Amino acid sequence: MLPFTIDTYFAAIEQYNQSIWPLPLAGFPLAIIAIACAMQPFAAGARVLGAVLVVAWLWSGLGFHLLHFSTINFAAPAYAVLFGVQALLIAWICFARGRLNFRFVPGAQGLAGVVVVGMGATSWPMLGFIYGNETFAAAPMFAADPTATVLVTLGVLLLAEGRAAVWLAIIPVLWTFVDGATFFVLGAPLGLAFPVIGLVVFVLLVLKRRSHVLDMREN
Amino acid sequence: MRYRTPTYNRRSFLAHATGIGAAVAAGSLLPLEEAQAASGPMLTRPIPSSGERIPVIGMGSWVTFNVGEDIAVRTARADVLKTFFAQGGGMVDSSPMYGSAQDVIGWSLRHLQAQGMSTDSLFSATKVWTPVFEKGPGQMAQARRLWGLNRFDLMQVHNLVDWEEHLQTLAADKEAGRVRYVGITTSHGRRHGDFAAIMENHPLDFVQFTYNILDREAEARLLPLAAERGIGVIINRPFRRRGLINQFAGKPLPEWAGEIGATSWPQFLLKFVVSHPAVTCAIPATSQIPHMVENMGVGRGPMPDAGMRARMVRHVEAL
Repeated sequence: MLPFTIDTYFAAIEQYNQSIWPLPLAGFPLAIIAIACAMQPFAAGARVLGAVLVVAWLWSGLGFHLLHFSTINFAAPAYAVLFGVQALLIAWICFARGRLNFRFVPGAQGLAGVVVVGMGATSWPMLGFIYGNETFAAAPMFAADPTATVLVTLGVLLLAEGRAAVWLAIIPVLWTFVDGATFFVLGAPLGLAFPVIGLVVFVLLVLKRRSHVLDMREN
Repeated sequence: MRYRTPTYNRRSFLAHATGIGAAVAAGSLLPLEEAQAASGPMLTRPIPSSGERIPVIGMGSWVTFNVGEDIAVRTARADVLKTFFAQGGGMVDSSPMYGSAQDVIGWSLRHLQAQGMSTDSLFSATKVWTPVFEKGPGQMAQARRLWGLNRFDLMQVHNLVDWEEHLQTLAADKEAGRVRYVGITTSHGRRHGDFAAIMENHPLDFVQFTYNILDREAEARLLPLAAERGIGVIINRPFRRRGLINQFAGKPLPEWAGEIGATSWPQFLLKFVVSHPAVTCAIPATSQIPHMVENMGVGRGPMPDAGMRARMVRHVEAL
């Protein structure tokens, strides 16, 4: 049993967005930058994308979970730690190890990546907008909102190369289960779509990695 | 975090108007004075350790008052609290575990006081909830600040977390006049064995646990032990968090429910709880004014006796 209702949950998002308005609006262009860097890679593109993701995970983890959501959910500080760990992982893999590269390959994985990014950047904010008060502040935006951040991250990871993408997907996939359980308990069974998306993405990433390894062995 | 001017939008309008509007539309909300006069004074029960009497229907705040900082929703909760006091309510129970509930309660109390309403009937009850003993005093001080009180009427150890240390603190606080009564809580039927052992071996003014018409484990030991030891009993989850109301919603009330003044399933279920002779107070939680009026109505009029209580149990178990 959660200490809040679904109305309170979406009200918390709206209150948070209002308290930092108009910063949440930056989420949409940031998501565009992320998908652009993934689909049209350039020399510093991976680092730019990595920086966007680090900012997003820190912002939604510290800003939303720790400083705001913790007032109504005692588990929020633990979530903030999880998001902080993910931000550090992305920073380490991207900047310290230089192991995050992107290449859009037409096909199921590439299309899935674009779709999942689109979910995080537009569909999820639209749902919040509609369910909330039909104000822009009610829309949970990428970077400010944890769920939107997780979805965009999973989407761009489908466009990443190398085994680092699999490792970087672990925490986001775990979060889709937390989200799914949360919304299910709050009486919104559609939230079970989140762990389904998380599992599908993870399976695709693992298959992609296995296919790459097999290709390497054959060559 | 500062409050913003409320945007009076669809959700906030609904939050504010639903309770009153629905009740008026249903024709079920009499002016409060008429409703009270129609069914008599609120039943009170003595606190065994002091003889002080408190209303038998209190108010919980789990989930219902954890609404963050939306001013419109907070105002709606203040209206629920206003109804509670106007209907003769006393005990308001909360906890640090309930998110922003204590903050919202304190805000609501100040809101009502600013409107000129007396909140003197408040019997303030909260809990200490930390596994780190040293943080207990600070947490309780924080609660006093949030509620806007110099001292609580009742401080309880929530869910027996670090109870041995916290009870020592509470005993010292009671001695020093920082709290009037001390207690322990559990819920969902958990740890009744440990609970009984503490009741037998430690001086307590109150215990709080779950009891309702289907969850009657407390009848075996805790309720008689509380009566034997002179400990006040606060009942949480009288409706299993709406679970019982939903379970019986589609079924007709028994014809004889009127004999005990119950006109709805929530009243039937709550009458069962508060009619147990060992129960001092029940604390149903609600965010809706009509439900608050309905709950408070249970504290008036006839109460089921032992025979009627047995009949009530047989009836619901046969459904």
